[in-house]
Amino acid sequence: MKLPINELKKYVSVKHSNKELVEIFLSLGFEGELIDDGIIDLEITPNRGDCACVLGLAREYAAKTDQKINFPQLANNAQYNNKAQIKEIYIQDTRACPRYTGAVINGVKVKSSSPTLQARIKSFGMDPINNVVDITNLVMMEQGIPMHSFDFDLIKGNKMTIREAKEGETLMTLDKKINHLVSGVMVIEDAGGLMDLAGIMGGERSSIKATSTKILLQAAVFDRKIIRQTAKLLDKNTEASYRYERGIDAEKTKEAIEMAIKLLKNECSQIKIVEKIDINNLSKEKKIIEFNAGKVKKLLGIKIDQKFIEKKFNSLGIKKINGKYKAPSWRHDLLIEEDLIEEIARMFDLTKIKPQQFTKTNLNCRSINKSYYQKLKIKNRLIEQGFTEILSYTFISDRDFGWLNLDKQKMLTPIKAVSKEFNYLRPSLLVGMLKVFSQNRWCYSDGMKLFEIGSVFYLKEMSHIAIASYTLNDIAQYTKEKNKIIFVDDSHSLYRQYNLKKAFYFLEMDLSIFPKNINHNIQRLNLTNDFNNVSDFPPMIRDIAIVVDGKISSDIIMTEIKKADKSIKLVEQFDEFTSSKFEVGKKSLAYHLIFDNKKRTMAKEESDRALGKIIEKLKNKFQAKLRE
Amino acid sequence: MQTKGHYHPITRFIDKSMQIFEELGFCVIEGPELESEWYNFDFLRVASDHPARDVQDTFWISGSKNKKLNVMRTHMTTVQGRAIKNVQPPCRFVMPGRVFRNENTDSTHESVFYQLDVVAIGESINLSQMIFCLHEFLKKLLNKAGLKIRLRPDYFPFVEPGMDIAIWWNNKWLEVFGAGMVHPEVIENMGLDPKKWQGFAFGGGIERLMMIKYDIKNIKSFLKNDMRFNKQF
Repeated sequence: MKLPINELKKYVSVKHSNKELVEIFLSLGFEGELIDDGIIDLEITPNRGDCACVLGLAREYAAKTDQKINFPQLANNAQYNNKAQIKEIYIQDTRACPRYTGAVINGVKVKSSSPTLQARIKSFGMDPINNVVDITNLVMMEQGIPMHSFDFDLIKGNKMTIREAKEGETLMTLDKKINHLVSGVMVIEDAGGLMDLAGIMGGERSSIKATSTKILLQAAVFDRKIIRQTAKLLDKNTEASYRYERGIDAEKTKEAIEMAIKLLKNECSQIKIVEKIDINNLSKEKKIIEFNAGKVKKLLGIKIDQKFIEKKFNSLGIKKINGKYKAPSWRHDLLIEEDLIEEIARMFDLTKIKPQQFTKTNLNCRSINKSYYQKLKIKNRLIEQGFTEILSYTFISDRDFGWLNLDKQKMLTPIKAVSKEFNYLRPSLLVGMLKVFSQNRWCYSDGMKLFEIGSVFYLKEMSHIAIASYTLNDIAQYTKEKNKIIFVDDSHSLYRQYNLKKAFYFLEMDLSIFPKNINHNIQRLNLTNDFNNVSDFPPMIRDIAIVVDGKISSDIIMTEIKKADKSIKLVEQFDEFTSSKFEVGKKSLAYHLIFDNKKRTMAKEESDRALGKIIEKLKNKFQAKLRE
Repeated sequence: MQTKGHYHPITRFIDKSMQIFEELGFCVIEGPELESEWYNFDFLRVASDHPARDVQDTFWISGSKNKKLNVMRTHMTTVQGRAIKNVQPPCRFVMPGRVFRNENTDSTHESVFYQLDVVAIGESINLSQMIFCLHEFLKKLLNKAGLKIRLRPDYFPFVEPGMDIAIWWNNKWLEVFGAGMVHPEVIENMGLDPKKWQGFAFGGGIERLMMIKYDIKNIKSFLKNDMRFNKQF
């Protein structure tokens, strides 16, 4: 919602700078940013339809700054007929259209709006069309009441009927689109057929033309659910449907008509009011909210002064009636005590609420769900044994499925997935693992010992574990049934598809039967400190082996290597031994070094330079000797 | 020699978070990824015509043997209902796991990602205590003593009052969590009397917090499993 600050000033006195205003609206729950020329673009949460207009936002600002709203009062002579005289208005279901307010006006001259009106329309980010349409749009942006204007002479016969559409009916709307209607959609009909898609968009036939002189201005109330359903069924979302869906202020339709008439008089002074209509079937039932001030402290944990609460309720239009409270007609979101407490918290400012000690109590509920710790224990063990954990997508493509040779009837399928790769939920962890082997073809063989624990879906959800390696010995120890180990080589249908360079071994089983290590204590994890973003281009791998003093820790050496050049992404040790061939007290260390470049595939020459730097550093710092 | 392998960064992150919450008296609980409409939506007051239920946002699933399980959970708040079914309050749960959104993706949006959610129910658990927990968690996790946290009102159907939580990071506010006091109707859906029990809940995306902490540029890095990425953790 674009809020021009000049429009805000019509309702309240603005005492803050534009920047401060953005902060104030943020504290009230409306995130926004200042766009050009004193306009704030505000995000309105779905529960606050009342704030999709200047008036609503002005009310918020007024309540926050303890002001009263300047809202134009209805003129005394605002006479409205509760039964239309010159053309009957028949409402089939008053729950769907509880109120119909309108005015028939003669002597209108349709033309471009005055520069002032055009500027106002533009400040809301809308395009000026003609004076009549601009006025209905402006009233909607100001007061939040969607309006529509009809060419009265183009309404055929002497009756308008507001009713539910029938399956198969069609209607051409203002956007020149033919809408194929279904039941559940609301329309307005005259003797010539359908003429309006109620609450969404007017029909083309009865719309304002350059020649129109007599018009019907409409400010009706339509049921929120019906409009939401219609917008969804017809995939037609408009500024009007947006406001109806969220609930408009049903008690202020006359005010909207009056504002429109006043604006129209400025644009064409010759107009004459033929008739004003207000068919009002709004339910008289008032929602009363119980409110106990003690609950504020109980829920928020802070004491808020009773006077502050009363003052803010009053300025928000929340009325006190016999010790209980009634929400104003524009606030459809205030239903229970907690809703009122939220109002207090918003007005008080959430950032002023201070943390309150929350002590640990022994609630002893760990026993109810051990799955988390069981998984961590298995991960502990696999990591110790050199396996690296992967996490892959829950979905597989149609092609992947084709190669897996499984029963389609048992597969679980997402309905209308956005991505083409998401045809099925994964029935096993194999495809994910294959992709990782494919993705990391550059990686040295001893670095590709991998595992994944995750849900798979075949008739139902199951928790599985998969382990894989280029070497059979790495995984053979985890099962007695050696025939469960799959050898993924070029005879496997997925091997070539994923362009693998080398066959690997793969074992998958239900997590519950994975061998447990009972004596093992659970090891909790810490966060590492450093991270370097990885290039989208392939890396260059270089191995080095050095001989150093046996007392120097390999960790220190690895840290130094990492610091030597920013192209180095990863250092992994793969060997450590002593030998009689070395001087006494010396050991050999060997590392895989992985280099990459953000902008291109890492060239060998580039890695030579970085490697040179590293070797130089190791020589100087640790008296390391390169081992051939 | 045996070189150790590497935990996936999400595993590290979750376990570190679990330790912080365990110290605050929370119990770790998990739930299924394939859920019922009740736990994912109705239980949490997501109205039947709420846009979040549209196929554009949710993975609706066909083919499940148990026909009631027909949606990939869209948030970890879903686990609240399952967790509380089995215990008597007062209780505190932390719920980490994988969630799903049927949306187009970019460098900050994934269709498969991780969230952690927290819920505490008691007779007098209040918003100020929630703020304490948030401070504790974010401070320890991001390892930053004077971390600034901002609360502002926001709307989620399952909390009232509702708010979002932002942290001050690299000179701007970044939203990290949705939060609030559990809506009385949700308390009722838990099978508890809302006149007696109340509580707080908050939750949010794990990758987002990690991207903030480590300055990770692309959310897709997490499920890509490039060994240059995984082996740094």
